[in-house]
Amino acid sequence: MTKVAAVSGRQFSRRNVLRAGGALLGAGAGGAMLSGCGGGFSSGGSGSSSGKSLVFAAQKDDTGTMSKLVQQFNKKNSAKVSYHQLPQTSNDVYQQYVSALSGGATTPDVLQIDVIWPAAFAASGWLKDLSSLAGNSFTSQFFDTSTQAGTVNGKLVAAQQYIDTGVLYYRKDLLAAHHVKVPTTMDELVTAASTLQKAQGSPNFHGFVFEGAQIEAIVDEWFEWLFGLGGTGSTGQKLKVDTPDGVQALTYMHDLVWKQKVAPNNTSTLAPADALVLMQNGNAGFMRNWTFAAAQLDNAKASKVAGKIGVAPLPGKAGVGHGCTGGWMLAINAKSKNDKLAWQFIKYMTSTEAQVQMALGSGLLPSRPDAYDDAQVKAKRPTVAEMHTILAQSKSRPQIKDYTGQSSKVQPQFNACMANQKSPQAAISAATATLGSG
Amino acid sequence: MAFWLIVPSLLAIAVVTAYPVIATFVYSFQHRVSTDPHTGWVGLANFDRLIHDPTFWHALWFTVAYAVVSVALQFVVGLAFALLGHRNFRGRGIVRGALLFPWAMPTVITAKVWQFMYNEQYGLFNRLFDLVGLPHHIVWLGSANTAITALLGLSTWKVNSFFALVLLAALAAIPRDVYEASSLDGASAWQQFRYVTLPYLRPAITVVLILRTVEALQAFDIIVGLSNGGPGNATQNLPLYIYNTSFLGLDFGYGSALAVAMFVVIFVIVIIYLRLFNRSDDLG
Repeated sequence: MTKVAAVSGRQFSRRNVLRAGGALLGAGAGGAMLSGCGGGFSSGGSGSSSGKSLVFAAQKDDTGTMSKLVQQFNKKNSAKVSYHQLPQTSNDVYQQYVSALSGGATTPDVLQIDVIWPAAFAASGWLKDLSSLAGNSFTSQFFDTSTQAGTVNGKLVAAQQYIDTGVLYYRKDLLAAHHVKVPTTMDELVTAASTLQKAQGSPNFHGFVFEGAQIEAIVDEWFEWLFGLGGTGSTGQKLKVDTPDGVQALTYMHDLVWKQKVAPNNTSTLAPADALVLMQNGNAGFMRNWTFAAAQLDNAKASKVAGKIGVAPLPGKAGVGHGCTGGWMLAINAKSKNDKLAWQFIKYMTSTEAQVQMALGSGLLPSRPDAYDDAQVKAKRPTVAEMHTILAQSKSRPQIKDYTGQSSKVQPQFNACMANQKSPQAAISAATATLGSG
Repeated sequence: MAFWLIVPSLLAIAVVTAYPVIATFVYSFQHRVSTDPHTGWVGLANFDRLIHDPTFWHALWFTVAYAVVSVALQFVVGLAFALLGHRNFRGRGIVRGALLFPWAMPTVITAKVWQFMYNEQYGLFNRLFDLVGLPHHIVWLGSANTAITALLGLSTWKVNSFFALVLLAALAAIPRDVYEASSLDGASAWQQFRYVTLPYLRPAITVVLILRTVEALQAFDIIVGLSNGGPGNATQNLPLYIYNTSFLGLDFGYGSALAVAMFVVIFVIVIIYLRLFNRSDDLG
């Protein structure tokens, strides 16, 4: 029997093994090197821009309004703007942009970016300075918060396309049936959610659903409860999570799932779209989500609860609390070869005409006050008018240059807490430790 | 003339392989954060930070543990399927075709599909558990242990077919007369497997194990698609940590230092493998 092994050993000589191993190792090392990581965009080639063509990258819009706007722009200006659709999770979009822009890609020309990115992108030299193109007459048309969000070191680098904020959605029909008032404090929300959950009595029905996945939204929600408790969450250019209010905010989120059990035990895996599905299917009484959810909840084709949804500001400790403002802005890639057309496109996409269409089609909140006065918006999108008042209560996240980097260190710790793997205090301490090391 | 003919391919290799590798080594000694205009040499500071970084040690531990356990499971299941596929029975063609299927599917798509199957509320696994009366409200991707189990389940399903395919080919190459001779000598089925089949398979096993171990150490798409490193950092391995540090944190200096550390780890493990398998070859 040993002879067989000896034969096979010879067939597979040491030299051959080493040679094969060396090749593998080379391949392995190459794969390990991060400079080799690819991005989601081509830098040039088919996507390149010239003359009247542009590449515009923005999150996918299920309502089709964005595509319609792009088509209208193309028709009016006989231009060829192509709409490159991106995922609906902010973190995924960020990764695609960073891969492309750090690699010096010339496209996309126009980038739709999250409100928390202008500082980081501008510091990296990826965005064109729009100040000279825009001027005061441009910025004065928008909300002050929008202009502030797009201004880095005194330079305008992005114009807000729409504003977003965290709001409380509720089932009007269930609240009426079980004589529950719309909660205005954090404690009232727990009681109300618990009442609905008991009354419905189904294991698939949850009093309250919110986002607990390892994404930016988990940090936004923490800010919302923290704002409600009177905290701020940052000092200078650093996130500050380890404060009594900070621990209490995270404890509130943790206990909704694990103590009062009014939120589903898979909250740690829920992203905004997942929470929306639960609400659309009638499996939740209350939901914390972004304003984009309103249009989808009222869409009778996709939603079983169309017409039964109310919106309210998120509750705070002793009274109405604060949503966390978000939203998306338009900026020009510093390497774009067609910035004139790009700017023309941005002006169109942020115009009253376009924002009214966005509000009507997608239910997204305009970043300019005049769009709220539009008669059609008032008639067809009453929720948008309601959101306008909620927006006045909302607060923005701290303007930290490295916000995304710091938030990405906090997210896994908060997520571990939502998964009940770490106590709120332990998660806060671990987050503080990782923030300190950077 | 000959020299000029190979220049294009040399250039291509330099651009796609040599440059990224060298750049990564260089960056690892630099402070290089893309949101900070001040880039400069910092000596070993990135590596000092790495040694004191608990997230790095956890990611390293998870990388190695995942590689060892997942490859072992893939090997055992793959070998079993190879032996099954080697036997003569009706429907063997279908079984062999089915073996190829998981390997042929793109990893990210597979991972996303499995993410649905692991869903707590409408996933397949909890439904099956419900049907046979087992606990069926498991939040598979919501706690560390179940998320790791879920990941191992997916990787075993996905990659065992690669083992099965290669080992099946190796089994077909074993001459029949060796089995006949051993039968005449009175060897039992187990003895035939232990002393005939396994030694003949060893070269193939060595190659597949090295290939798969190196790939498992670099696992990325399968983890991003299924759990994205969560819950918390429970399933974050080194490649994912490198990616998050570089492309989310925009800290390319520290990310490069992590990549260099990972290079060293893979290098050491491959050397250990080569030593191990060559020695056992000599011993027979």
